[in-house]
Parts: sequence; structure tokens; C-alpha cells
Amino acid sequence: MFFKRLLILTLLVTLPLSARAELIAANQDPKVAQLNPLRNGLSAITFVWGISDFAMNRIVALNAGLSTAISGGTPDMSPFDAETYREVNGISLGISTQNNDLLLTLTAPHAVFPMALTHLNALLRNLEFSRQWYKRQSLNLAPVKVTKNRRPSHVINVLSDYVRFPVASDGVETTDASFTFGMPRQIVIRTPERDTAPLIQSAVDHLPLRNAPLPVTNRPDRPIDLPKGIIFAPDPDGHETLILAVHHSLFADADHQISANLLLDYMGAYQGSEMFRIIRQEMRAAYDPSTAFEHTARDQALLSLSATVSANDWPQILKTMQDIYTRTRDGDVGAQGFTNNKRRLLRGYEYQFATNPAWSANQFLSQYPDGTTGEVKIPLFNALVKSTLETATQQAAASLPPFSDYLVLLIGGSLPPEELQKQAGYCELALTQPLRHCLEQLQAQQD
Amino acid sequence: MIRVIAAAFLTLFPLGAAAQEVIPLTDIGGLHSAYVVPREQFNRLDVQLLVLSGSYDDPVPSGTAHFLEHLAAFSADTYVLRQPRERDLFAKTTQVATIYTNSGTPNEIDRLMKLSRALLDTPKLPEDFLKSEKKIVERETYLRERQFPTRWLRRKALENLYGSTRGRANDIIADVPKLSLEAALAFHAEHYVASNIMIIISGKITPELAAEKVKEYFGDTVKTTPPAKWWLDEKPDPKLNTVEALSSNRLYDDTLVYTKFIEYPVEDTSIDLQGEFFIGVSIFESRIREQLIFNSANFQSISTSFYLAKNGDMEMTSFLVPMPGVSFDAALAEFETTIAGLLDTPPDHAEIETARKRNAAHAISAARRTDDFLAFLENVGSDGLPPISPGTFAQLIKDTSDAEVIDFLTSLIAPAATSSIFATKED
Repeated sequence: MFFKRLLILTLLVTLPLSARAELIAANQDPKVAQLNPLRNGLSAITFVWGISDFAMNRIVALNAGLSTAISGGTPDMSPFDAETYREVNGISLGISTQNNDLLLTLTAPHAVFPMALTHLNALLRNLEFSRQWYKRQSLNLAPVKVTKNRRPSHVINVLSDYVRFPVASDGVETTDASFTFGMPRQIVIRTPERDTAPLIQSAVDHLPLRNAPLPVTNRPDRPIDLPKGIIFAPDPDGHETLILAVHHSLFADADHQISANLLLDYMGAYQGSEMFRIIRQEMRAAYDPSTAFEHTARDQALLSLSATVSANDWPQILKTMQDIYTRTRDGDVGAQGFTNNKRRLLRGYEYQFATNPAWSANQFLSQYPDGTTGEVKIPLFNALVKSTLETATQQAAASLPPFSDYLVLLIGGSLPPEELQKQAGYCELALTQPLRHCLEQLQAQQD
Repeated sequence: MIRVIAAAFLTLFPLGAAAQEVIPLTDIGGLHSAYVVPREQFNRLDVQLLVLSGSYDDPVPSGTAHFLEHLAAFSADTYVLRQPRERDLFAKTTQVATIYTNSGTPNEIDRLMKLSRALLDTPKLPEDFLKSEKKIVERETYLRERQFPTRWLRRKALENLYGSTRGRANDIIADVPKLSLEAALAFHAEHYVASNIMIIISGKITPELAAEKVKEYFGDTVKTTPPAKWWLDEKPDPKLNTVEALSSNRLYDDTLVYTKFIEYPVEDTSIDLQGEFFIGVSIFESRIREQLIFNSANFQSISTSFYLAKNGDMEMTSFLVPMPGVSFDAALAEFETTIAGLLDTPPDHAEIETARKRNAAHAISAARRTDDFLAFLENVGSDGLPPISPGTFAQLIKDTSDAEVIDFLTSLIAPAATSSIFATKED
């Protein structure tokens, strides 16, 4: 069995709270999942706290708050000494958000894992909250303007935030926010230790519970679509244009998601892809043609194709990208390229599961947002293993939306789209504006 | 089916990191050097070919070494194959070396060695393809200029530090339209010679087989005079202290770039300085972080990189983001004052021991990830010095005395040539 069965712990907590700090905690003991040990000599634990307010400003504040909490000291160590302690012992802490949750993942070599968990507990129980550190982290985590450095990955991150947290602000001022992090609602642990109860107990010892769950606000009640059309951010001083075509897709099941992932990889992942072969090697038009498959929630993902090209070339390259996409969607897929991509995706899944506890916790939570007491099965893995070229091409039209449903972003240069291209929707983005400005404007037009 | 994936894990990943021995090979034809680093626990093999010339060795125009990197392998390979690649080819041009990494399974050793050996041959491809690769290099250069503002900020600071646009500094954006196939091929003829090439084979291979394969594929090469490192003699005025202000809409934050040039006396090469370099830099960064991040409210972030050349010249580059409302002048003054007073209380044995442990933890971590492991080998090897593996690094750190570390730090904080950029973000 890949995942061990779920355990339930009963834990007592008595910690008093600071008066003004917002308590992020569950109102009952956490559900615990133990997954197979990592294969890189490390053990790991992931704490999962539920998000109550899904407005983007509150998400930033929450992340900055957790970052501040774990950057503080303990009764025995100053914040600097605590950081040094983690460095010399190979202990690392990482924060991520997933669907409905905020995740904190600690990794440490097996030998120091027990004391690392005690250290984590001491960090979370320390009620001192550095306003200065929180201010610094709030600045570091603030959403970026994608027009500045035009990295496709940054654009995807902003779009991912938009579809997961469509409300930009709930109007609450977060500048002076303060947080305390108590009992998580779920824990995912990966260690060769058979009896994990003492380890988990040391990590959650005396963490506070809430009396009642917080009401959930600003969470979208259905998957968010990206608008169609074109967003153009002109920059006459720039000689390059980033073309990024993107769609937020909802899949019927894991098989269709895997088919979409494999076909998108076939189009633009790695040096064997169609986009690399045609746009880079034959047309000599871009250094970075690629596709990206960004999982956003269970059965949902952002599909994107991108290339940075000489400013006047974008219409021709966008047309080429569309042709590659349409050909693939029509089932014109080479067997060797597909096989290569399937092998790489499978190896990627294996590697992530063997070495990346945060990624694994994401997969688990996507499938089991409220935990499970039964055998754990992740349909995506089975779908990937059994996927074939025939199945993927048969499912192509159902897995991949028509290109006309994509939102196209053009950032940089001064060649605007033609009027015909604007008919599906058009917004011009000033370099000083956030991308959300146009997303909301187009969405409003199309609603 | 899940069982299939779980079983695969057992064959792919080790349970722990072990020491790795770096074994020099002797029957290597005219190569500069060759090494094997056996790692039984990984079912893979990596062949790194290091041309010991990089962007610092560029002729006019800047960017020629990078252009040649594309011609020699990256594009050429894909163009020739004309079929989907099973794995990507990795190549990069650093300041002092051009590094090609071919990876595969142990039974692919001959293919990996052939791909490596072919790099010494003059690129043989249709001329229109070779020439048009210049467009790809242009695209890449402009792309990176846009995507990574720290690259051009650093470049501007180094241009001011060295008073030059050649050697340790460059003006790649001005030069990229001037790139030429002829210059690239001339660079190949001068620099892609056996005496300027290091081979590092790491992974699941015996020293005997590695020695046999190096002899088989490189044994016919002949030793010649390697190209001169003329830029090692170009040094800034020690009293230089420049500041340039600029603004850009590419920046997320106001950014202060601070570069410094330090000369360390060495008997032969900087290999003797490596232990105190790694420990000393760790203490420097830790003390700066304690003062300016933990004890000061004036900085949003600070990061510093160091390059120690084989003749003992060291280049330090720091990127500082002041908190809103903190002026560049105030930020620079606080940074320089902190550096000047950094050794008012010299590090004691416990602090130096902590720095040793920090380095050891980093090395153990690097041994767990293939990319980090290969980067570890390349790091010192790029200067033509014997590569250091995470395993041999531990001994190096252990053998360095406290006094050597303090001497290193004393030189690091002493007044020397500096060049700063005050870069203001435009909204």
C-alpha cells in the first residue's frame, strides 16, 4: 500500500492566547496521514491549516504571518540563533498554499527529526510576533506586476492566484495584522519511524484549538474561468513581446487531466517538443518556447503556451502556436515524442513523491481534503501509468479546449492586435497596472 | 499500479548521502585534467566537460563564448538529431568556463563520451543554421536582460569597478548584434583545445572503466599551450569608490548593488584558500544578516555572492533592498559601517565551528540532489583546480585552522575598490 492508513490523535491543549493576535487553528484534533518515507535521507512533516478568508490581501497577510511566526525565536534561542540552529542541523521550513489550506512543511535528516519537531513546536508556541518581520515579509510576498520582468512563470503565478483567490481585497487593513498558529487541521508525516504518535505529539504539544471554526468568506463557489480575448501591455521601449496563451481548465476525471498534461508536454515541454522544434529550431524566432501545466485544484489546471519573440513577430508566432495546438488537439501526435514525455512525467511524479514532501502533501490534500480513514488512492498516478498515445489522442478534444477559448497575453512591444483579433475581448494594460485590472475588466464584459 | 511507482523509488534514490572520492586520472592524452567521482548508490552517469574559458575570456564582441556554446552542442545536437530528444542537453557559459553536461544511465557511457568528445571538433553544420543561431542568442540575451534585472545591474557595477567592458566586465547588450560566426569559430580553435579541457565523470562507474573510457576517447589528443588568462592581470584601482544612480521600470524594488574587489596573496593558486574562503564567507554572511536583517529595520532583503579566482582575486557582489523610506545613501552607509566593524569582536572558536557545521550541512544537502552535486564539482573545477565533491569538502573544512579563517575575514573587510549602483524602481 502506497499510503499507510490514517490515524486519529487526541491531543490536549491549554495554551493561553495573546490578546490581539488572530488565531489560525482547527477546532478539533488534527487528522494524521503517514505516507511512505522519503528516499533522500530526510524525514518531513506538513502542518495544514484551513483558510477562512480567501481574499487575496488576506492570503498574503496569512503567508507573511506564518513566515513571521517561524522566523521568531524560542524560549531558549533568539530568532537569529534559531535560524543558525536550523542551518547547522539541515532543518528547513517551507510555506505554500493549496486549494483551501495553508501548508507548513519541515524537513530534517532522520537523526535530528525528533528535535526538529520539538523546535517547530517551540517556534509556534512563541507568542512574540515581530511586526517588523511581518512588514518585511508582506513586502516580499506582495503580488508582482507581470509587466516588469515578464517571466512566464510569474504570469502563471499571478493567474493561479486569480483563479484561486478571485477577490483582490476584502477591505480589511492587514498592515498591522498579527497571528498565532495553533493546532493544524491535518498533519502529513513521512518518516521511517513506525510509531509516529510520540513525534507528532511533540510537534503539536500545547498548541491551542479554536472554540469554533471561523466562517469561510470570499471563497469562490465554483471553479473560476479566465476570460477569453487578448490583453495587450504595450511598451514602446521594449523590443521583445511575451506571448502567453492560457486557459483554466476543468477536467472530467483524472484520465482526461493526464491526457491534457501529456499532450501539452508534447507541444512544448523540453527540447524534443513541437514548439522547440518549429519555433526555435526552424523559425529561429524564440529562445524560450514552452508549455506549462499548472495544477490549481483537484481536476483543475492552468494550461499555457508561451514564447518571447521579436516585437513585430508576435502575430506570426501566435499563429504557429495555434497551429501546433490545433494539430495536437486533432490527434496528430508522434509516438516517440509522446513516449518520451510520458516517461519524463512519470519520472517527475516519482521524483517529487520521493523527495518533495510539500508536493506530496498537495496531492494527498487534493484527493482527500478532509482526510480519510480508508486506503489512500491517488487516481492521477494510476491514470498516468496506464495512459497511452491512443487514449490521449482519443480524449484530446475533450481534454483540451479549442484555442479560441484561450486568453492571450501580449506583454511588450508596440504592435497591437488587429480589430478582428479583439472581437473575443480586448483590454490594454498599462505597465503601471496589475494584471488583475484587465482580468476583471474582461470578466465583467463577458459576464 | 501505485505499487509500480513505489517500487521504482527504491531503485532511484539512496537512503543517505555518502562520501565521494575525487580520483584524478592519468592516461588522458593532452587534456588539462580528468577525474572520476564514483557514486554507487545512483543508477546514473554524468559526464561534465569543462572548457576552462568563459565570458571573461571573450574577445570583441562580448558574448562570443556563449554563442559558441550554442553552436558546439546545444542547437547542433538537436538540429542533427531531427527527432524528439529523450533528454535535454545541458550547457552553460559561466565567467571562467563553458560547461557541457551529458547525462544517462551507466550503460550509455560510450554515447555520453562521444557527445563530449565531439565538442572538440569544429562545429560542422549548414552555414545558414550556424549563422541563424545568432538570432537565438540575441533572443536569449534580451530575454535574460529583461527577466533578471540583477544581471544587468551587476554588469553595470562591474563595468564601473573595472573601468572596462572586456574581461571581468562586459557590455553584452551593445555587443550582441556584432556576434559573428567567424569570431566564434576562431574562439573554438583557440579555447576548445585539449589542454584547456577538464573531464569529470561521476556516478555509477568504476575508476578503472572511467580511466579506460577517457583514454579511449581522449587519449589521442595532444597537449598544447592553453590560452592565456589575460584578464587576471586587469585589476581596479584599490582606492576606487564609485556610485552610479539609475532608474528602471523593470525593477520590483529599489535595489542597491555593491561590488568590491579584494586581492588575496597566494603562493601558487587559490586552492590553498578554499577552506578559509567557504568558512569565512559563511561567517561574513551570517554576521551581516544578524546585523542588518535581525537587528536592523532598514533592509527588506540582502544577498551576496563571491567569486574567488585562481590567482586569489576575489569579487564580491551584494544586492540590498532597503525598506521603503530608507534612502540609498543611508542604506549604503549602514552596510559599509557594518562591514567595517564586522570584526570588532573577532569570531571565537565556537562561531567558526558553527560555520564549519553550516558548510557541512550544505554539503550533505548538495549530495542528495544531482543538480547540486554537479554544481559542487563544477564550482572549483571551473578554475582548472581539482574539483571538490561534497565528501572531500568535509575534510577541507576540517583541515582549515581558525587563524586562517580570521586572516581571510580581515582581508575581506579591509578597504578596497568598490562600485555601487543605486537603482530606483519606476512604477
